Amino acid sequence: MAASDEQLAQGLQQGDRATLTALVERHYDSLMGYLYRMARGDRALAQDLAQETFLRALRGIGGYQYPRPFKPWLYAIATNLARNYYTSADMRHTESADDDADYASDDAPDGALLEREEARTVIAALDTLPDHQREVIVLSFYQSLSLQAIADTLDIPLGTVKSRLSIGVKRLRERMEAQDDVSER
Amino acid sequence: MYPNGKHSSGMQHPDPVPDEEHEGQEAVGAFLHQWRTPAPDPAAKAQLLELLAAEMPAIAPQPAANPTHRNPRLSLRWAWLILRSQTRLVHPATWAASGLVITLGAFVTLAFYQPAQSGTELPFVLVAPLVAACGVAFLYGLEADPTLELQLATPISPRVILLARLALLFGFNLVITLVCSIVLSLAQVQISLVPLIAAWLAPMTFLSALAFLLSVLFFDALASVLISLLLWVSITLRHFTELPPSFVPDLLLPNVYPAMLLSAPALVLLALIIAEREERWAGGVR
Repeated sequence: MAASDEQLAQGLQQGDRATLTALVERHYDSLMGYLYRMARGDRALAQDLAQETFLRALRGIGGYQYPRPFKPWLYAIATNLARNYYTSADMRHTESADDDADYASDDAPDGALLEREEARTVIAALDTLPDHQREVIVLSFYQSLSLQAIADTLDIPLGTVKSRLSIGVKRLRERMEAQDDVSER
Repeated sequence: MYPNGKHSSGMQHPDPVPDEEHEGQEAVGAFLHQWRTPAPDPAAKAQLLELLAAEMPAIAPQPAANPTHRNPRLSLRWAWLILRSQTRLVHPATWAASGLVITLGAFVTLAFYQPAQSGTELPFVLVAPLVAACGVAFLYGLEADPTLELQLATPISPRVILLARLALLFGFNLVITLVCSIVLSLAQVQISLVPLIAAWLAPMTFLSALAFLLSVLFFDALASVLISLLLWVSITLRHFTELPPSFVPDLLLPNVYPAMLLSAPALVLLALIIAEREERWAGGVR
């Protein structure tokens, strides 16, 4: 049976190199996905943040308390880094997907252009939410974290996660309906 | 992929939601997933693994069971190493300013001493607790210590780091004040050593503990210094002039000393609990 994340983290605390590779292999892609959303589609920034997250996790592995769930611990570091990036640099940027190289250029085929347009719509919708709601929405919808894991990640009560999720979904729904109305006209 | 619905693992979420809300979540989920996840980048992952591998030797492995808990000699050595490392990290100005002002207080006391003065009436007794409290206030917080964030990422608990710093600085102030008290009692035969120590020991301990708690609470050394200063001035005014603020208890009365000495550890304990809660997640950045 494969070792759990928590067992791997414990192995890392004891200096086992192999566990480090296993943890990166397990979590890198998913963490990149999370940070990509937190960075509003800026892939380069997401990569930097993911790298910094793993570095901090490695340096701070002594602070991890076995058998607490490892994934929320890792995502807490990532969330703090993402928050810190935007607050400390005071650069709540809005360009997001507009100048993102990950998306197709204007010369790209129709499919890629459509994908770009859809991504832009979603990013704009998510940007209308306050940060605390956006974090819960991203963790829940894109990362499939359980409500309890989200509560652990963000260090907030379970009830707060539920209410933020509910309000966030409601706001997104309202925005989607408003967009539908506009397109119908 | 939707919250409260069916996850990728195929497991139903334990929290059931009304159908209407569930439909709303499904619609929102479908909308959000129009923004696709970028394809994984194996090169970036490989680069990260190289970087982490290079970092690995610098990370001290944490033994499964801390042997220092069983071996008193190792415990002492461990404590010594932490104290020594923290000595270098407390700002040099903190040591210099504390020592200088307390010594100056002793000189002023000697220079202007009048035989009728006793215990709390000596400038030295009024200066020492405040200086100690101001020094302690600068022990915690990123402004006071830019390396704090880095230290919190080490295997040593934030509580131990803070306790080591408090012990160091309070111990330093205690020794300086004690030496000055001995010098004062030797220079002026009318000044008795034991009553003099009793006059500053309890207020110094209490005010330092309070300043420590305030700096942890506000994460701001300046706020802690200002509140401690305000409180100490109020206590002094209350004791000597009977002027308002009369709601401030007269903490310079000898019968209050035991209560002050006993409450100081409680304040420190409270500060440590709060500090640990604030830094619960290693790497937590404010």
